[in-house]
Amino acid sequence: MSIRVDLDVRLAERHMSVGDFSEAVGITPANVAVLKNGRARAIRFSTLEAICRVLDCQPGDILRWDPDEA
Amino acid sequence: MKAITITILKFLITIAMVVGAGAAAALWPLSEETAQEYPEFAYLQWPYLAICELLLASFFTLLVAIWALLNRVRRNSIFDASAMRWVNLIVGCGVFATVLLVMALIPVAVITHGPPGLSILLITGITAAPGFTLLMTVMRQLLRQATGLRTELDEVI
Repeated sequence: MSIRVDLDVRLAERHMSVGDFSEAVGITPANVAVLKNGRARAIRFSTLEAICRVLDCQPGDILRWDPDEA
Repeated sequence: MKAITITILKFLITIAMVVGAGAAAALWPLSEETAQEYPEFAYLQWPYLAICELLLASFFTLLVAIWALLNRVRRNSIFDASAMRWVNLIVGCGVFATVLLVMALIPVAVITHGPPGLSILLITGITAAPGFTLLMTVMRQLLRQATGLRTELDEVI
């Protein structure tokens, strides 16, 4: 998938573990892994909103289009 | 589907199975009596008894398949690929019953006339069986589309 989800930097900035992040957002740790390694094919706006609320960021801060990937 | 509905349906299936088993047993003496009452059709006794027993067997298979599908509905796994196999079995039962009824209808319609009630039963069956099979084919398509949609939705995070 050529849309990249960059969570690692934001998580490190907040010293938040994947487990705490997944619990705060309301998705499983497995789905967090799916997001991070680019295997996600679709995401709900409600999930995206929760992520932005937890990480205090904009969608564009964590979503990146990688044209080389396609 | 609520748990109580599933339980009621399973209870009805059990009753249908008991009634069917009773009918399967009662057919043997009944066919004997019919053969004696209409001696000119006595040669039809064993073929038609076989066809009726096979029809009841396909009916039992149908009930088993519905029971399995009800289990899947209860466990919320009705959209798995394995559920489709049971639906295919139901369609197969409908096709099998249709073939049996056509086989039963041909001698009665073409060669000779059986006892009067038989013709009525066969004509009712020969419209009901293909109708049921067609309905189940449509339902099968519905299930396939719903399963596809569910699989796609499961990928959404």
